[in-house]
Amino acid sequence: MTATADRGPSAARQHLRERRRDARNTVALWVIAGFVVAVLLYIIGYTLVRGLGNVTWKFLTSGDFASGIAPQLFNTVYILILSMIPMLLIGISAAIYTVEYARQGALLRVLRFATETLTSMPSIVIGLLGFLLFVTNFGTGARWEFSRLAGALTLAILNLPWMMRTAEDALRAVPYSIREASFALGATKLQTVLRSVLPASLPGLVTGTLIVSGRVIGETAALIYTSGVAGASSGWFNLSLTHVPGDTLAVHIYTLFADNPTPAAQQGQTATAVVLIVLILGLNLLARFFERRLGRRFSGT
Amino acid sequence: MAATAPKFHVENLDLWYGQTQALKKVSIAVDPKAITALIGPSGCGKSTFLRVLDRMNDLIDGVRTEGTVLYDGMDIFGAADVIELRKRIGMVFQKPNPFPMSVYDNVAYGPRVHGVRARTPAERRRLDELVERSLVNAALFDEVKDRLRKSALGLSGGQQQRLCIARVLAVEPDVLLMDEPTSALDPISTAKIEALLDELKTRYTIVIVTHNMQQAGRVSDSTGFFLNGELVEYAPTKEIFFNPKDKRTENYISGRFG
Repeated sequence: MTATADRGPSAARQHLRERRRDARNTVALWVIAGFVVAVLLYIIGYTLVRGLGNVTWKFLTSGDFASGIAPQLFNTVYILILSMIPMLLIGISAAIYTVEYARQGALLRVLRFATETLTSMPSIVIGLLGFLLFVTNFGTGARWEFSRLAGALTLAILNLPWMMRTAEDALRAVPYSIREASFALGATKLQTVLRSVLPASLPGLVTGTLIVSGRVIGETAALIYTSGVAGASSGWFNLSLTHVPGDTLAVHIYTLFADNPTPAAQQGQTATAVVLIVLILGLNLLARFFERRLGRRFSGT
Repeated sequence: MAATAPKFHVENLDLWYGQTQALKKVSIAVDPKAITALIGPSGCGKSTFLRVLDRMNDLIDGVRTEGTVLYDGMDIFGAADVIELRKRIGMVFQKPNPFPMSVYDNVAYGPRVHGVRARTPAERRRLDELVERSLVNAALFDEVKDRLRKSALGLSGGQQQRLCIARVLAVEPDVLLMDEPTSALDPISTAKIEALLDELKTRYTIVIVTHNMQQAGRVSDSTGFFLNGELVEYAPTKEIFFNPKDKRTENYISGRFG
C-alpha cells in the first residue's frame, strides 16, 4: 500500500490530477517556446531560400544599383567603425565612472534617467536629431552634407546607452576581491581600474561591443536623414567623412523597395537581407563565444 | 631598545560601521619579527581590526575610527601616505584572489604599480629575479616554474594562496597581514602555508586572523582573543592556551562557546 492510498481515495485522485496538470502545462510551455524558435527559423530560412541563390561573387563586388552591394558593404563597415570609436570611448569611460567612482546621489540618478530615456527613444527621432545636429547644423548654414560620419555619430548617440550598460555589466562581473587585492598591494584607484579591473573585464567588453555592433549594422531609421539613402553614388569608395553620402546594407533593403519595387529589386533585396543576417548572426555567435570565455574566467579552478 | 620596540602600537582604538560599534577600546602592542594570532568567534572584530592596520577599511563607506595606531612610531591615520603604508604592509585574504592573468604578471603586479619598469634587458632581468625570488620565498617556485606565463587561475587553491603571498612579498613589505589565509584550503595546503609562515617570520612581522585555534597554537608567538569588539586578553600563546587569565578566554579555548 502506498502512502498516497493510505490517505484515502480522494487524496490519490487529487495527486493524479495535479500530476496531469503539471504534464499538460509542461507541454504547453514547450509549444510556446517551440513557436518562438520556429518564427526565428522561418524568418531566417525564408530569407535564405529566397535570397541565397542571388548572393553571387558579382553581387558582392559590383556597385550597380540592385545588381551589387559593394558600396553598401563598404559603407556598413565604414560607418560601424566610425560609430564604435566614440561609442567605446564615451561608453566605457561613463561605465567606469558609474561603477568604480560614483557614489549614490543626484548625479548618478540623473545619469541613469538620461540613459534610460535615451534607450527608449525611437530611432527615427534620434535620426532627426542627427540631421539637425550634423547635417543642417541647426539651420545655421550647413557645414556637412548627408554623410557617413553624420550617420555614424547619430548611431553612436543612439547606441551609447546600450554600450554603457553592457560595459557596466562587464565591470560589475569583475569580483570585488580583485580590486581589494590591487588596493592592498598599494595601487591607486586609477591603477586598479586600468591594470586589473579593465583587463579582467575584457571578455565582457568584447561581448558587449559585438552585440552593439549587431545593432549598429541593423539600424535604418536613424540613418535615412543622416548618411542618406544614396545608392551607388559616385565616389563611394573615397573615405570622405563629411561630404559623401552612402547607404548601408540595412538602408539599402529599404531603398530598393521604396524607390523601385521591381522583381529585380526584390531579388537584390532578399540577397542583401541574406548578407545582413549572416553578418549579424556571425557577430552574435562571436559574442556568445566570448561570453563563455568570461564565464570560465571567474568560475575558479 | 630598538629591537623590542613594537611594530604596531594601538591604543584605545574604537571603530564604528555607521551606528554599530565594531571595535571597543582595543589596545595592543604587536612584536616585530614574530607571529601574532588573533582569535575569536565570527563577527568579534578580529578581521576588522586587521584591516585597520593597512587602512583597508578606508574603502568602506561609513567607517569611523578613534584612537591611535602607530606603525613604527608613525600615526597611520595622520602623517602616513596610505599608498606607502599598504606597500609596507601586505595583506593576504581569506579566499585566494589572484588576478586573472599569468602567474608572472600576478607577482610582477605590485612592483609594476610602484614604478618598476622592464624596458631594457637589464631591467627585465631584475624583474625576473624579483618574481623568482618572491615565488621561491612563498615556497611555490618549483611547482610553477614551467608555467609562469600561464593563467594563475589554473593553479590549485593552495597554490593560488601561496601565489597571493608571493605577490605580496614582491612588493618587499615589512609586515604581512593574513585574514584567515587557510580557511578555504585543504589540510595539506594548510600545512604547507603554516610551514611557510614559520620561515617568513624571521624576516617579517606577521599578524594572522584565524578561527582555527589549533592553528593559532601551532604557529603563533602571541595570541589575542577578541570578543564582541573587545580585545579580552593578549599574551604569549602558551599562556593564552594553558593559563588564561580571563574566564571568557578559558571558556572559548575549551570550546564552551564560539
